[in-house]
Amino acid sequence: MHLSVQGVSKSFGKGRDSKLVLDDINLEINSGEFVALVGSSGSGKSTVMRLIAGLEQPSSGTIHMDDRPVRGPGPDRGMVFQKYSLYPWLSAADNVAFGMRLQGRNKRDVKERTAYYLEVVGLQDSASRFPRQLSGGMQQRVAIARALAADPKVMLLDEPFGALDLQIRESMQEFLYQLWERSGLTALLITHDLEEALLMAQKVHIMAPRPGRIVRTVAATLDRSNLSALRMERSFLELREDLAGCLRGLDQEPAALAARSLASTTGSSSSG
Amino acid sequence: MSLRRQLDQPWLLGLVGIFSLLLLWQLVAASRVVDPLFLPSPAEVLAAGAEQAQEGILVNDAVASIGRVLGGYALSILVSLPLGIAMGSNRLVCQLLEPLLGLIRYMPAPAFIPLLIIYFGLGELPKVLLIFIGTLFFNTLMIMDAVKFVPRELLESALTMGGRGLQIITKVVAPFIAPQVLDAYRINMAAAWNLVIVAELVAANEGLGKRISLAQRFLRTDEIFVGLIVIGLIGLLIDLGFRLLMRRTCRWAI
Amino acid sequence: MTNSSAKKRNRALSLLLLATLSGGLLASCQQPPQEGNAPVRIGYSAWPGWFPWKVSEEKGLFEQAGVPVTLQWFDGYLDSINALNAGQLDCNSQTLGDTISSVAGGADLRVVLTNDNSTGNDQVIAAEGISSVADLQGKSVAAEEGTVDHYLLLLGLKQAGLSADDITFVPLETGAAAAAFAAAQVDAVGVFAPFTTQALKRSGSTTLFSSADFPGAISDHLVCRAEFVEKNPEQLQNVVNAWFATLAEIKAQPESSLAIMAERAGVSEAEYSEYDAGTTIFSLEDNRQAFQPGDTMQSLPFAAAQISDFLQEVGLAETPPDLTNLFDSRFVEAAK
Repeated sequence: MHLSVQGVSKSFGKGRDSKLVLDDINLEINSGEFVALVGSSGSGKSTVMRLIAGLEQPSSGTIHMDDRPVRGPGPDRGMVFQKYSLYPWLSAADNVAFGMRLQGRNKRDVKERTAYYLEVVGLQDSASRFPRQLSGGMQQRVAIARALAADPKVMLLDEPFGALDLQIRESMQEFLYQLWERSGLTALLITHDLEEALLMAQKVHIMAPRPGRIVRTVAATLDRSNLSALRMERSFLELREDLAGCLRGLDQEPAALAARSLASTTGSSSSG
Repeated sequence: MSLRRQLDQPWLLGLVGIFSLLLLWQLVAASRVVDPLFLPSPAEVLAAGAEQAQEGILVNDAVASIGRVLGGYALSILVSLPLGIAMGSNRLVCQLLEPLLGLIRYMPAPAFIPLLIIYFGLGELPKVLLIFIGTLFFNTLMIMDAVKFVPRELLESALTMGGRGLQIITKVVAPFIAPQVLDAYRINMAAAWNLVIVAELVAANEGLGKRISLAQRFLRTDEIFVGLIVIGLIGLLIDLGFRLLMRRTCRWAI
Repeated sequence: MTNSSAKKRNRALSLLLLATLSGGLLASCQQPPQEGNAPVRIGYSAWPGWFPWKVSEEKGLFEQAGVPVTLQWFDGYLDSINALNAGQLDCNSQTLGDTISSVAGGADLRVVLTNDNSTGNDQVIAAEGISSVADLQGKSVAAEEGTVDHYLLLLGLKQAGLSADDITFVPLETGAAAAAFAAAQVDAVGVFAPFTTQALKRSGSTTLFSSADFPGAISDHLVCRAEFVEKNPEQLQNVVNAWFATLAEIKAQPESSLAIMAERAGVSEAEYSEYDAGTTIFSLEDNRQAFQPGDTMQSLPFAAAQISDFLQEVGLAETPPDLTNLFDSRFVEAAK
C-alpha cells in the first residue's frame, strides 16, 4: 500500500480571518513502515493526521491512498485517539468488535477476531471489563486492538500515550514497537515527544509551526532490539540532542509562542 | 451495626426527616393555633384518605391523572427524541428550530388551556396535549444539548472504522446520551405532573387535581391534603422508577 | 453523657421553637376579620341582583351611609364563594343554596340581606333537538360544579325522574360553560344571566327550564362571616342601609343606573332590560317577611331546610348543615 501526501496546504477561517495552518506538506508512507511526525503544539501535526484520515479536507494539494484520492474517513485508515478512545458503555471485547460489527462481518468472524486481537494486545483476560475498570494504558491497548480489528491499511496514532503516566508510557512504547515488529502493520505516529518518535519510527519528520511545515526528515535506522537500553545509548542520545536543538531553534520564545499556538490549535480543531 | 453506621443509611435519615415533619404538623394542629378548618391533623387527613380509598375514589382519581400524564409524556418522549437528536447533530436543523423552541418554551403552558379547549374540546385530548406542550420543549432542548456534547473523538472513531450517518446516531450518539436523556425525562416528568393538576381544574370529572379543587368548594381541607400527599407520593415513585431504569440500562455512567 | 443529653435538650428546644414559629406563621396566613374603621370587604360577581352594588359604589352611596367599603368584583362566582370561606372577604354575594353547602362544609356564615329571588334568570339551555328534560339523557351538560346552576340542573333532572348519572356532567366555570355551549362543545348548559345571553346565541338553542319553574328555590343574599357580624354590627347596618338607598336611587335615576349596571354586566342596555322579569328584587318589606319562619318557600328558614335536604340528597352538601344561626334579621329589621 502507498499513501502519498502531495503539496497539501490547509487554511481555517474565511477571508481576513483566514489562518494558514499547513503549508506545502509532502510525505509518503509505504507498506510496513513506521513513520513519525514530531513538532510542538501548533505545528499542525494533528491536522496532517486528520487530513489523511479524511476528517478534514485540504485547501490545496492532494492525498492519495493506493492512487485513489482520499475523500473522507474510512476503515482503510484506522485511528487511535489520545482521549475518549473507547466507548464507555461497551466492554473491552465489544469495543474491539465495534468496527467489525459496523462493517457487517458475520458473528463467528467477529468473535474469533475479537479474541485474537485482545490476545495480541495482551488483554484476553479483560474481555468483559468496562473501560472505567481498565487503566489508561490498558484502555489504549484496547483502542489499538479495536483499530487493528477493523483491518486498516495504515494505523494513524494521534499522540496515543500523551495522557498516560511516564512509566506506563514507556511500557506502551515498547508494546507498540513490538506489535509493529510482529505484525508488519503500517503506522503513522503523531507526537510532541522526540524520544518517543525516535524509539519507534524509522522515518521521522520534524515540523515547524506557523505555518505548519516539514523542515527536516531523518532516517532513524537504529538497533531497536532492546528499547530500554537504546534510550541510554550514546548514538541515540546524540541524535536526539541534535534534533532537539533543531526543534528548539524553531521556537524562539517557547512559552509565549506555545501559549498562542495552543490557543490557535484549539480554535482550529473545534472548527472541524 | 453500631448506631453511627445505622444513622448513615440514607433512607433512614430521610425517614427521620419525614417523621419529624409529621410530628411538627400534629403539634401545630393539636395546638389549634390555626383554625382546624384550615389545618386538619395528620390523623384526620389519614382518615379522609382511607375513606376516599374505600369508596374507590382515590384509585379512580390516581388512575385518571396518571393516565393523562403517561399519554402526554409518552407523546413528548416520542417527539423530543428524534427532534433533539436531529437538532443536535445537524447545524441547519438546529439553526432553524432553536430560536422557535426557545421562544415557545417561555410561554407558560397553562396559558394554552383556553386555546386547547377551543380547538380540541373538553375531553381528555386538551389535557394530554397540555402535558405534551409543557414538556416537549424542555425535553428536546436538553437532548439537543446532550448530543452537541458528545465527544468528537467518539464520533470520529466510528467514522474511521467505516461508520456512516445513521449508524453513528444509533451506535454512538444514542448509547452515549442515554443516561442524560433518561435524566432529562426524569426531571421533566415533575413538570408533567404539575401540569396534569392544572389541566384538571377545567372540565374534569375525575383526577387528583380535580378532587383538590372540588374539596376546596366544600371546605374539605383534609381532602386537599390527601390529594397533595398522594400527588407527591406518586411523583416520588415515578422518580424512583426512572432512577431504577437508569441504573439498569446505563450502568456504565453511574 | 452530659454532652449528648445537652444536645438532646437543645434539639428539643429548637424543635419547639420551630413549631411555635411555624404555628405563628400559619396563623398569620389566616386573614383576621376587619376591625374598627377598616373598609368592609364585600365580594360580588355577575348577576342582575348584585349589579346594583356597582351603582352604590359609583354613586357614593357607601360614603353617604357612613361606611367605607371595598367592593371586590369576581369574574368567577365560585372564586368569590371560596374567598369568603377562606376569610379573604367579610361578606359575599351568593345564593342561599351555595351558602348552605359552605355551612355544611364547616364555614360559619350569616345571611343578613336578601337581594332578590331568581325568577327565570337561572336557566338550563339546550341545543336544537333537545325539547324536554327527558331528552337530556346521555347528553353532555356543562355547569359550575357545586354552585347554583348545578343545583338547578339537579332540581330539573329530579323532577323529570332522572338523576346526575343519566347525563354526562362537564364541570366548567359559568362563563367558560356558556362559551363552550355557544361553540357547540356541549349539548346543554346551566347558566345565569348575563351568561344566558351568550349561550342563547347558539342557533336553535332554547331554555329547557329555569328558576321560574322552581319558585323560591334560588334566592340571592348578602352573606357574611359570623365573626365579622359579631364584631362589626354597626358597619354592617350601614351597608344594608346603603343597599336600600341604592334601590331607591335606581328607581329615581333609572337611566344612569342602567348604564352603570349594563356596563358592569358587559351587555347592552337593551339586553340588560330583558333580565328584569327574571330577577325579582326584594324590597325592605319583602326582606322582613322573608326572614320570618313559615311553611312555604317564601320563608327563608323553611326554604333553607328544604334546600338543605335536597343538597344532601344530591351530594352538594356532605354533612347535615347546622342552620340554627344562619339567618340574622336584625339588619333588615333596623334598616332605613
